[in-house]
Amino acid sequence: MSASNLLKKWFGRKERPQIKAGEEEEFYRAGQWQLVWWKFRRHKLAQMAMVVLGIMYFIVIFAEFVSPHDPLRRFKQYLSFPPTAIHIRDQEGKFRLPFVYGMVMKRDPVTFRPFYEEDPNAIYPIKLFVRGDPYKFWGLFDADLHLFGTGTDDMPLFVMGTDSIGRDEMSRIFYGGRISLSVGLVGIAVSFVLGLTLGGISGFFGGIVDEAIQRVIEVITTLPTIPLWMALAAALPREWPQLRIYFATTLILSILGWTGLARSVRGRLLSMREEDFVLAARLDGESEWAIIVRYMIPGFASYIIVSLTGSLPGMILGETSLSFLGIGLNPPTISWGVMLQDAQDIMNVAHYPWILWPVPVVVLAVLMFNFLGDGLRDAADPYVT
Amino acid sequence: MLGYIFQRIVRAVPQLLLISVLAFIIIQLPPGDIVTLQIQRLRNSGVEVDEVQAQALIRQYGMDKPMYQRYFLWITNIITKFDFGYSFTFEKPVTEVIMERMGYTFAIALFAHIFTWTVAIPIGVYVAVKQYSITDYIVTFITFIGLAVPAFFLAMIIMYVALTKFDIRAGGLFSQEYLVLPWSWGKFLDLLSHLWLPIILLGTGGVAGTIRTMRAMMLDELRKQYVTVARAKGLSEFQVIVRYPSRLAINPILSGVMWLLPWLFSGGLMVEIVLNLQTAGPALYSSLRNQDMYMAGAYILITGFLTAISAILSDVLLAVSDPRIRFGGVEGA
Amino acid sequence: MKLRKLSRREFLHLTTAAAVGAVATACATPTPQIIKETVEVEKVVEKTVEVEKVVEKTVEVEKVVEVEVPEGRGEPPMLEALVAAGTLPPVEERLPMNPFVVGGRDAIGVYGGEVRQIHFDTVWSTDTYDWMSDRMMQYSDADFRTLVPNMIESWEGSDDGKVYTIHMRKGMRWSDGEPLTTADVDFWWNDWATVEGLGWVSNPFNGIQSKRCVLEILDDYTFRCTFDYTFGLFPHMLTRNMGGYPQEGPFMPAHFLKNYHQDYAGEAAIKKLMEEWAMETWQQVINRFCSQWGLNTWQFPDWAEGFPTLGAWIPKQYLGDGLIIFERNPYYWKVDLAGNQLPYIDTLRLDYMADTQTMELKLIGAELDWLGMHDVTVAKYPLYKENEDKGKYVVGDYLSCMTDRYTLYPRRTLPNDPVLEEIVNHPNWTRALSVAIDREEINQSLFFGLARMGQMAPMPNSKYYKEKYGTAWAQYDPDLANQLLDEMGLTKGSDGIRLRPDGKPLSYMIEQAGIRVGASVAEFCEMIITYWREIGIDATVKQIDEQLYSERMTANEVECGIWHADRCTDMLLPIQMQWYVPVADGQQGGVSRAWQDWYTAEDKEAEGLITPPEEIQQLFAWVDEMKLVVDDDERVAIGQKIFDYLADTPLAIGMVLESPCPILYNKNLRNMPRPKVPFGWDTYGVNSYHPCAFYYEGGERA
Repeated sequence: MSASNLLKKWFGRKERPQIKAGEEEEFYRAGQWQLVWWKFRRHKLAQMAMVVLGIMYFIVIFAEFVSPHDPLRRFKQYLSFPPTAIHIRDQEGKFRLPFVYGMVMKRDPVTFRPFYEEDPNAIYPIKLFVRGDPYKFWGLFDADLHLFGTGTDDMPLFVMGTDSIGRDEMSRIFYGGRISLSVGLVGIAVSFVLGLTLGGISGFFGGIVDEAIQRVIEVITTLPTIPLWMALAAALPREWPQLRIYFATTLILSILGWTGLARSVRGRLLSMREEDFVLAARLDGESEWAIIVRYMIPGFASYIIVSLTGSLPGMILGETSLSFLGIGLNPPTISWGVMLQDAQDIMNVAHYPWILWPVPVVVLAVLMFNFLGDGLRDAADPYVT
Repeated sequence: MLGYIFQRIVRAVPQLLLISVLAFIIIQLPPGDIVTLQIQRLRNSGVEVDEVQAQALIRQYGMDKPMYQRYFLWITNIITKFDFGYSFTFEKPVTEVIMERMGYTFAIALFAHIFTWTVAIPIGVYVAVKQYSITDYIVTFITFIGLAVPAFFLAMIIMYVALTKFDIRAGGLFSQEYLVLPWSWGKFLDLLSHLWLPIILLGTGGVAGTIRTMRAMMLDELRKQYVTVARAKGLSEFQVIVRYPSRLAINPILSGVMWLLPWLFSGGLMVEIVLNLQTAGPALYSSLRNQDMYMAGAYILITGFLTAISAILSDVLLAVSDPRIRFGGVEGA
Repeated sequence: MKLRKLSRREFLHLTTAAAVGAVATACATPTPQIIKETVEVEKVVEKTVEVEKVVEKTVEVEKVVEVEVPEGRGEPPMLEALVAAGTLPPVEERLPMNPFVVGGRDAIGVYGGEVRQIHFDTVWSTDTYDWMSDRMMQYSDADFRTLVPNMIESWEGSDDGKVYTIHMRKGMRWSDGEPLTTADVDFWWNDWATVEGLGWVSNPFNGIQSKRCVLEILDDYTFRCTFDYTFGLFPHMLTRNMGGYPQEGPFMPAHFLKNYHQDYAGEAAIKKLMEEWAMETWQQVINRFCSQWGLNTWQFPDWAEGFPTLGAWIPKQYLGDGLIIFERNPYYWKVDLAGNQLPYIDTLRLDYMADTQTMELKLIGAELDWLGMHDVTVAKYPLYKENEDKGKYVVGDYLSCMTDRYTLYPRRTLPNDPVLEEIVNHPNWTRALSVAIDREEINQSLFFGLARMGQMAPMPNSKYYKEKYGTAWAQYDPDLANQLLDEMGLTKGSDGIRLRPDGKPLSYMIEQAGIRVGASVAEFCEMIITYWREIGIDATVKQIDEQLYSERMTANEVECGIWHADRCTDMLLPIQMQWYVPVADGQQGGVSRAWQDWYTAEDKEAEGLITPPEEIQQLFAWVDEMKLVVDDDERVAIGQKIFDYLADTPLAIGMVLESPCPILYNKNLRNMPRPKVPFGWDTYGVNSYHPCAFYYEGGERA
């Protein structure tokens, strides 16, 4: 909290000379986006992050099709199944297209832990565009086409293994991403609206309104996050369906997110109000509203985008923290946070490490958002180095 | 200057009162109260409690009074007697419960922060000086990963690996034998041998952030003219960096020291739970779960209070360093 | 003590022979001659007679144990110094005239050692409670059916089951050395239990439907309670919740608590305490010692130091955060067959754990000597088993009568949804829901195939059990389930979901209270809803907070509840029938809280009551009858009428007949319960197996 606030303060102060530096208004308005793009392209990590995130969002949007299985389907014969080894060479040493061997479940006679024996004679090639578990695509139409799989229930494909009751981890991660990757977007949208509106009002009108909003922000930032989350989460009416609870959870997450934005928007507006171009517009007889929308907001749009991207990882981690404390979403809803609940189990760490898949996935997503945010910040940085 | 400080404090008073009201509302938000919860627990474990008797208990603990009455009683006791009320789960005054844990809490937080700074500040300076070098990229990458891995998860994995691979029992603050013994040299050494994990884990989160901040600050300072002047004067590169820009860049981080106070209570909560530490955070957290309302209220109030004080302190510090804030409030909100 | 003059070896042979009498007589090895010898020793004879009573009903004692008897010693080494210094009287003076003799163990133990345990919640540590709570009476752990006196010396009941006379053990003492007498009973009954605003725990002396007994003190060690109706279950009820905590009665340390009772200590003294402890009423002051939350008295010994108890261990050190050290009670009133004062184990250590991961790490790191029924689950069986050597413990082979016994309660009173209420009250509903479940898949997925699945019923080794109770409607037959629902007129819509008479899709929600129900409750419920979806019910599950769950169950808002069903053995089933018939604890399980309210109401016509259907009223009547009758066989016959009804028309949906209870204990611990005995609330956890007689081989843990 402290570090990021300071950072924002710092950036706020640093960017002021930029406006002075952009000598001509024309250059400023036309050149900035171009400049940003040009700088962004130099940031290789950020570009990579954008590609990775693009793939991730593609997967979760088309989760029904990309997932090999129905995330709720249990495969009774494949409990706690380890990630399938995908072969390209068979027993006789011949190369062939990727395939998996048939597996048979056995139980350890002492510990009763399931283990699997390979049947080298049963070969199941991995195919593209196979028929499998039926689904209703986006809840709109029935389909059963999946991007890849073995296309048979004799030996289904479990790229990331299965959980203790035989559900495919990979499919669950894909479906779970729907919630986890959108929770940030929804939360940010809320923060954005709240922060921009309240910060704008505060900064533009000043006076008593400003004072009131600033005090509210102060109080909100003073309250410790976790008790606030817990109390709000516990107070949600339980009659609500999971989906609404989910939206409420994102709201809770963004309650704390908007204050930072509101503050910096206010700060920018305060300083910009004194700028020459605003004065010029005012003398031109433009309405206050038009001044805000036409001159001031474009002035710090880049800044807002940067700060929003920067708060996305926090939102994703926030969802996992809530689930860790058992006050977020709960099964049977699938999200990365819910899946992480299983990851906090010594038995899974010791015996079934593939249950921990959600961890690298979350880390990857957060990492990519951080890179992207970093790249955007550098790009939006007016200093040309 | 004094006037500014005074004004800042006066402004904080209504804020603190508002926090206390909010704290009280927040702890009342979840349905039910501790007495009903405990009666239910008793029933769930086989003890039969009559309905009439249950009602009597609720009265006995004052749970039937209206909320505003309870609030006024609560806040009056806090202001006049520094009495935060009675903890139902610990069966003793809240103040006592918290004080018992303050020592470790403070020590761990302090060490964690010292760890953060000693690691992060030099690295931050270094990568800023060597911007866009391989080292910069590597450090950037690692710090970003540090920001991305949930610390509570890391805690669990480290404990598991330490135990199964190296036979080190890493949880808690003491090993089992020493926990029950009175203080001795051996116990102190034992404490030290357990402190590394919480300190590293709690510090790591800060390290990544501080490196990022430090790097940005330094980059900014290095571009300024006085640096060029210093170089022109013939000072060695090391002297140039250490004597001027580093000292300036460190300023905002130092004002962040103030944030140590609220951090004591909620900063490393999840790690503290996983590591089973005897600090204030987990105790207060469990009180929230158990609807131990005075305890939970104290948690929120104290954290809020400390945050507000930290805000005042860091504002004052900023004002000291930047006269513009004192006189007109450029951004001194 | 004359006892000590007797050769220990001889004495042991005698009593062991008696304890295993049934088998012994069959083998005809022990000679009656030995028994004669004991007649010399007055006290011992009394004891042997009692033990023999147990023996007559013993069914399954496996073998006569050949015991190597070490030279027993009178004084536990830990206390020797104190006795030598004169601060503690010698053991002869500390023991009652007639101590409880713990027989039937594998061996005479050795003193010493510490047992490390854990608890999760600063306010909840039930497993340790099981180690040190004693009850007035208990069931013999040889057969789990025979009532034997425990804290009391003996009891007599009149033939009509109305008058009960209880004889206490002369010379028995509180842990501070004060004698236990009827004065303590008197204080409990007249100054606490029957005082409005003070006594808050129900107890058997309050009788059925609050028709209290008349309690008379006859002399220092005898008291009598008289009911004006036949109350045959009364002595059995003395095996429950009697003695572990002061408030449960009837033994309350009057000499200590009078200092906190307004009538005795005076208003001024109490006022001062109220101020000091930040309390609002004087009742809070005394109830600080008599309230179970904060687990009082022994949970927080830093302020309750010196609080007298009767348990085998007493709290000695409170080190913050729930870490407590318990030490042996020098006045404990049980001895082994050689006359050694118990317990063998010197200290118990209770560590606080914030979460289960930490507990499991401690387990693997060999930092735990005991993990009881509340903290183990068959869901972790492979983990336990694989770390046996590393953690230096043994995975006990016991049966669970609590943990992992998931039971679904389709709720029958749903005032908020009359249409659904009518559907669920059709007998086919519960039958269909039950046969739609593939119990074997649950067994394989959640219990590693270790459980014996079946319907909600008494455990198979119970007197009440019949084969059909365990199998009724427990087969996996989705076709039958569909047929049953079709018969009800619930036709399927185009999407395969059945429609209710009002045209809405038939949705049905399970609400579960999380980990407290069982370790795998989330997975379990997820499996259940998919089975129900397969027969056209739009089933969903929701995890809610335990407290909220209780509130919603109480308000009749839950459509389908779930809890772990215990009370399935002869020890507890006749006393607490609530999982089978909704007579109590409707906030937790049972099919209707509204019916329970009707059952418990004095005025059945009162406003707001929902009158249950006649067959349910009949079940209630049978439950009452079970409490009243004196003869046990008669009780079983009545109980079986209830189970016959349930086998045809199930109320609850059970899953497990028998599942393992993998209790974990240090591999050096001896005198442990024999394999396959039940563990659960029914047995008070380990309590029924005399943990005071557990000992470490060689006096130390592995």
